[in-house]
Amino acid sequence: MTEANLKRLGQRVFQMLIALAVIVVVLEFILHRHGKISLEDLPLFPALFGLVMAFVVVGAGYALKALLSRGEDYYDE
Amino acid sequence: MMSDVMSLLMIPGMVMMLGAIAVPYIPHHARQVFMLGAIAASGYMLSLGAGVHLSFELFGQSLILHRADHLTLPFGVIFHIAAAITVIYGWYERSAMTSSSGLAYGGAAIAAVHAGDLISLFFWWELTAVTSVFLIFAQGTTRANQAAVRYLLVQVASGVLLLSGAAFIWHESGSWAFEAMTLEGMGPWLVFLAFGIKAAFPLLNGWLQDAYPEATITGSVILSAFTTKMAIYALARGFAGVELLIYIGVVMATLPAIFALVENDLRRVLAYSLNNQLGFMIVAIGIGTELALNGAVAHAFVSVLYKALLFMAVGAVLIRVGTAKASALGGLYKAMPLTLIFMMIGGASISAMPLMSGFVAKSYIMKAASGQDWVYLALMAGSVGAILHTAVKIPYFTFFSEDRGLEADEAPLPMVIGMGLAALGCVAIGVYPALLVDLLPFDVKAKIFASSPMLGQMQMIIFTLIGFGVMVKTGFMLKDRPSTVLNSDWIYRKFAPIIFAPIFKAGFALSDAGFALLKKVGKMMAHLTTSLSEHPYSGPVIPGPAALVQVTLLAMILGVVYAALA
Repeated sequence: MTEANLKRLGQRVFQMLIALAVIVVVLEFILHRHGKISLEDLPLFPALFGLVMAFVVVGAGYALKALLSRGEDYYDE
Repeated sequence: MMSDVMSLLMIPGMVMMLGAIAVPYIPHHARQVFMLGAIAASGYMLSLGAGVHLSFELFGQSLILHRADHLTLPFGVIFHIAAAITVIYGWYERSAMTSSSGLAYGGAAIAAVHAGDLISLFFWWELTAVTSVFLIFAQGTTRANQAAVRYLLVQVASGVLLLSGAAFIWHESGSWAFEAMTLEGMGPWLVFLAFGIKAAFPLLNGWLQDAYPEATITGSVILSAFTTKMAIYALARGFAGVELLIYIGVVMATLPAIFALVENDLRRVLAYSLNNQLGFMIVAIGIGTELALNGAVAHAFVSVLYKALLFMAVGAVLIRVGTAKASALGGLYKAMPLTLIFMMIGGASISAMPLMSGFVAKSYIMKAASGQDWVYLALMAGSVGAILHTAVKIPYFTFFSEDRGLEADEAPLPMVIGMGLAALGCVAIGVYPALLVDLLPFDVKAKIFASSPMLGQMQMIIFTLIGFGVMVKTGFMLKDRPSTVLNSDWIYRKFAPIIFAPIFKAGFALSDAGFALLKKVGKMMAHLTTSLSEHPYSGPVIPGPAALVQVTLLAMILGVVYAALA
């Protein structure tokens, strides 16, 4: 029951995020956003940076985990 | 004399430190009221305004115990606010030890910020270490005790470095005043290193993630506020514009963000997240312009609030559920909705969402960093990390994720009020930035409510969240499992023992062998003495010199035997 609730909630939040994403993408072309550095002036740069970097950071997390993750009792042994 | 002693009360924080002595003897409710009173009385000293308000002569130098200026004020204000909020939050825990040491610790940090010379700074610097360690001891477990001892060793080492640096500087320049320095010569480097330990520089940061999560629930909230921000103040005062800090800060803003994503203990995630936030401040101090320093101070100010808020929220979950491990949590959104809302406000602030406090501070720092593209982009990457590990990961694994059938009540009322006040601060500064901007050290301002940065920031946040959603759906998101992630404390917890244990072992083995040999020689000597006394060499012919030889021999033998058997 609650498991299903959680799933439905997750879907609703995700749909909301997509709606918000559409809004900020549309606003990009209405407001003529400009950045603080020239790269940031590229269309939708912050959006793409956030999306790509999220995967990069989590990917780096896998590398870090492989390298530095140990058992829970590592220091107690 | 009496007036001298009384004048010490003019040091901001002093009333809190003295009050802390009485705290254990006051019954619970009165104690919390008393502590709020002490904090208010201490805070009153901030109203004296800029200037040197208290100093003594010592060895022809001035001990400046109360120097107030544009840089001390914002730290003085936020430290008092943080101390007051933690008293309210800690109303529920009823721990005399946490209360007393927390009050003294806050007072020492406030006094440190107002120290005008390196010697007084050293004194308060060490006192923050000695008082705060009890916040970890108060937890009472073996694990916490061990972490506390490690924490104390590192903190005291920082103080020793500071004192050595001060001695060098005094010797070379003839003054121990605490002013801006350049990184030339032994003295400034030692001081830099001392500050670097408490500011959790890369490789010097292990103590933070090691100790903070082991403290009591209120203890970790208190710890998150003071030590590191005191170090930020000290770096801003002493080393603004030192280019090295830009590189150090960039590493801090990015690397701990990845650690935070992998870590399972949510209080430890917050400790990494705190480290990640310090990176932004360190970069700004390294840039060193007035705009950048305003950014560093603003960021320190708002991060005290939202970091405390996040530690409070995780603490509330810990007290209600009994664990703060992501792998054991989930599905609590219906049980603890207020805690969830407060945590989301803290998360929105750390994500620098427009109309939240973090956005005000980031407006300054990002504008200041825009001169160097790579620094700007690195800080953007650090922000994405902060959104992922703090604003999304912690609430997601605590309140949603999967239903583990956990039963819990909403956080206790004092905790709700404490969180509410911190959340109110986060929103108030975000909506009405003048609350903070008017406190900043310099007159330069960054435009905060400009459409471009607001839209850019919203795009980054929303698309990072979508990235997270996709990763959860596709199963790419890191699963939280019980684990230990190695950090720089590994150097002294595992590596040093690996190197030094054999050396010590060899040393002990060697000395054991030495003692065995000595004992053998002693026994032989004793045997020799017996046989000598029974069959003297000299015979009865020349008794005087023979007796002398025997006495000398005996004395030597006794000496060796004594040394061997003692």
